[in-house]
Amino acid sequence: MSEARHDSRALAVLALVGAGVMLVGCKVVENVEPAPRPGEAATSSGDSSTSSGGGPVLRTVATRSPWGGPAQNLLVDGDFELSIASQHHGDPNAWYAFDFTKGTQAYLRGETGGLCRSGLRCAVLAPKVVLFGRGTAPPPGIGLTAALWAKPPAGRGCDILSAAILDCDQSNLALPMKPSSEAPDESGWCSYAAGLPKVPTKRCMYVESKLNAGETALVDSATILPVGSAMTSPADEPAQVPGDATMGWTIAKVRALTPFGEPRRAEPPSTP
Amino acid sequence: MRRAALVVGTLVASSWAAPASAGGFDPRGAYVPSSAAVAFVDFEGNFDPAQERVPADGGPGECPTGYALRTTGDALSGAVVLHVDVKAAGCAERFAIRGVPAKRASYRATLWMRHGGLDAQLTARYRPESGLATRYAKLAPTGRTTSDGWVELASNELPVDGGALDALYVKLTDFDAVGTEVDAIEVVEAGPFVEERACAGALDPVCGDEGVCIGGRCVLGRLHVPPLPDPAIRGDVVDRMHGLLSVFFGARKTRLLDLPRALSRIEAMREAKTAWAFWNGFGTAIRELHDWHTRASSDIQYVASDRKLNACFIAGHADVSAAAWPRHPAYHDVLVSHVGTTSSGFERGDRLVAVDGQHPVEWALGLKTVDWGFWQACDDRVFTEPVERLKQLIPRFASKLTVIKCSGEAGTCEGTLRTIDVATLADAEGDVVCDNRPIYSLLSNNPGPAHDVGYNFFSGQVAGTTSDEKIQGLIWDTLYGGGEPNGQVNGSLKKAFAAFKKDARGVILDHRAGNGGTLDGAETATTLMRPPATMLVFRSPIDSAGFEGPATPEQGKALFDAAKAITPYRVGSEDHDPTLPVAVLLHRDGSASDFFPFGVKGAPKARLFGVAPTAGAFSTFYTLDPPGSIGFQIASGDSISAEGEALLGRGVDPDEIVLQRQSDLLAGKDTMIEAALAWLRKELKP
Repeated sequence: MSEARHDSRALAVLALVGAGVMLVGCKVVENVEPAPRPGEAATSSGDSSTSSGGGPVLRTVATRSPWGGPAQNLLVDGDFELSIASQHHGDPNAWYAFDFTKGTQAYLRGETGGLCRSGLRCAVLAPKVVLFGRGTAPPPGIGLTAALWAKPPAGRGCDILSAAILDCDQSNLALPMKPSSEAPDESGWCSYAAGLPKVPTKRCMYVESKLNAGETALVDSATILPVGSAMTSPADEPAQVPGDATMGWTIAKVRALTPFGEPRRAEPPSTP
Repeated sequence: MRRAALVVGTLVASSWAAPASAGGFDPRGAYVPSSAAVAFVDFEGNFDPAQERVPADGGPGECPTGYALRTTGDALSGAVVLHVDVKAAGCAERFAIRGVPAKRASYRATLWMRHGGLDAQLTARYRPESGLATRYAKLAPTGRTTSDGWVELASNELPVDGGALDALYVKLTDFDAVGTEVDAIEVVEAGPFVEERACAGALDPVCGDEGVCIGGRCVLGRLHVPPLPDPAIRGDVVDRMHGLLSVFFGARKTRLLDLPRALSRIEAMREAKTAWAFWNGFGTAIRELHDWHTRASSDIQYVASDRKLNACFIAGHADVSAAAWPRHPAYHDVLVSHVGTTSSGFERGDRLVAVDGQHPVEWALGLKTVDWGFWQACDDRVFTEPVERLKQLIPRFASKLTVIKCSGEAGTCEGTLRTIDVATLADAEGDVVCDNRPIYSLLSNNPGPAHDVGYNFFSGQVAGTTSDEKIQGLIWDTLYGGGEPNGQVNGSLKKAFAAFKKDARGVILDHRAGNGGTLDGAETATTLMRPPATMLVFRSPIDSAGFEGPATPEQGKALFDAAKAITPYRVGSEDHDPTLPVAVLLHRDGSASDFFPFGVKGAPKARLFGVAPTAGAFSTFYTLDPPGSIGFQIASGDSISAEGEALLGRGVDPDEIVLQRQSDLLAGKDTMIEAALAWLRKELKP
């Protein structure tokens, strides 16, 4: 198979996958009046302070895919829907969490539902923790755009973390993800973004906590998405910088933990 | 007694109509139970946990209290939530569901949870005199969620005989150190009762499309999978599954040959009409991928069979019973390797001719649509995984066995076939582990009679050798070094190898249940017998979206050259012993246990002995855990040899194929060890 054929087939993969993207990122919001079922008329996603029936609105209701999205994300699980261990099916490894002061793997805690920006689960970022989101590259010749959302604790700005897109296998190329603003938006979330016109090797997302002791933040909706030719001008070439020691340590740790087989888990009877 | 189970007809007094099937929300967003609910528990006012808590039926004896009632301003219903924080492994909290009428019907449960993670199920337990078995249904997210973090979980329809109940309850376990809030548990009637029917064999049509025959009874598949996704999000879920496989799964061989079949199954899920059709469609799609690392898991694989078989099987050559039944043209003979303390009459050396009329391997491979533990090598020539699993598969899925009984004492086998009804298998105790080692090779310090090698290392002088020969052995299964140079695995290997280099004239490395591990473990395992070399590069996980791997050796060589300084597999050591002969015994080996023999192959004083190639699982994998009772794992990427070959799907060929002979089994001999000793004795270190 020629290189060109490879590219066209890989592009076809993304095209097929991308066909569903407009749906996947969406949530179907229930009209809370009168008590609808999933799939029924969806009208409003915003929380409002009063209802037509009088009194303060306690909550709004939505239907979101438990598997997250978008379908063509080049991060394995940017939405964290598949990465919060819940059923003992194994140790999820689309994201690794490390305590970089102890040099040990950390438990990735989750938050739920509408508290998250998308889907039904998101990650809880703690102090002294790095998250390493595993991903891949777009097909040759295709650029990427990366995004991440975080909800800081009350009173904190968007500097509660630093994020970068890294070569998954080496730390010599780090593309910092810049916050869109210093303070969270009106919904309390900060966004971070970066882009690359050429991506020769697979890319992963690195998130380093800058939280103080006792603080936590939510992290969600991380994406690395393939883009077309919009960023092909040399003037758009973003600055990639050498990664720091923590990035290098993290990549080495991920490599050491990368599983090449494991004992198949026993099949114990389920207790009622 | 205070009760929280309310008849909803008296509860919903508002002027608007509640939905028929499950609860909804009023205009302010306050939860309103369904008018159809037969029970509703929101932990308010008169709820007394001491009265409503149901003791466990089995499991660990003493469990610390793992719940508390908490008053909060944003409870889903009322002002009180149940905070579940189960600390002890194997423990759970159980609370009664009351109000189900004394009739036969099916019921669907819903509850809402917030923070952390929750495993929940609705269980119907019956009075002993009813003769009814306990049944349960797992709960999983429906997709409904609230802006303040509540997430709806729901079960599929659980058949309940209300007149025979001992208890109907929800079982709750949390998976987060901070605990999980639960509120608004609700049960609604949802269809007719479904009788649990007897059946004979995995694919018995008596179970219909919605059942699986496990242990001689039809198990309703829907009880062990999430609900059918709502139409509003069903397409999203399927798109996501399709995207994960299309972008990340596999290597050249599996993407070209196997992925299209799996994607076809995924697409068919869009038309599924039932929860079981949808989720078993996903499981079957995953099993179509023909990959050692790739699998889907569901609660249904944990449904226990009352039948137990305490015998292990191994691929071999039935030289003593060949006249009674000919060899299958495609598959090796299947022999009893070893047995536990009870074994339903099976003895080492017996021959398993057929399961439900088919060769055992053919039968096991035919279970793809129902066996969530299905396991297959990437290399099409390899069938050791299904043979190893027969001990589990037969009690769950088989009806009749055809065997040839043999006598170790006489060294002979019967000339006729016997038929065994699987329903008569009743080994109660002493589950023996199937590790493909009929007989242990060491003079002392062998694993115990349970064959539970686990994460342990066993070394010492090989039995049947003299002190002058100085032939030493090492038995182990794991290569999980985890990046710890002196941890359990790397440290144990280094220690054993140092002793071998010092004292041994020949070595047997017995790795016949090679579970793999991490790359460093495989690298360390090659340091005894060869000088340093970079034999392959791992390009795993996948290099780019949908990458199909190198199409030509030239492309592969370019990949190798580009990656050899970044992701190399470095084997050997300057400190190896070039004069020490090393026999490596293989049987069912994959992943890092593929890398290990790949790194040994060609070393001047090493020889690989095996029944077949290794699994050819030259990749890593992603383990993914969606909320609910489904999990899965997909392989991603490949390894490229120095010659530019994409390796996944092509296992390491043994230097010497050795089939376990039936005559040796009956004589208490391990054919592979005999072959290794014969070679070593010609090669002993001076």
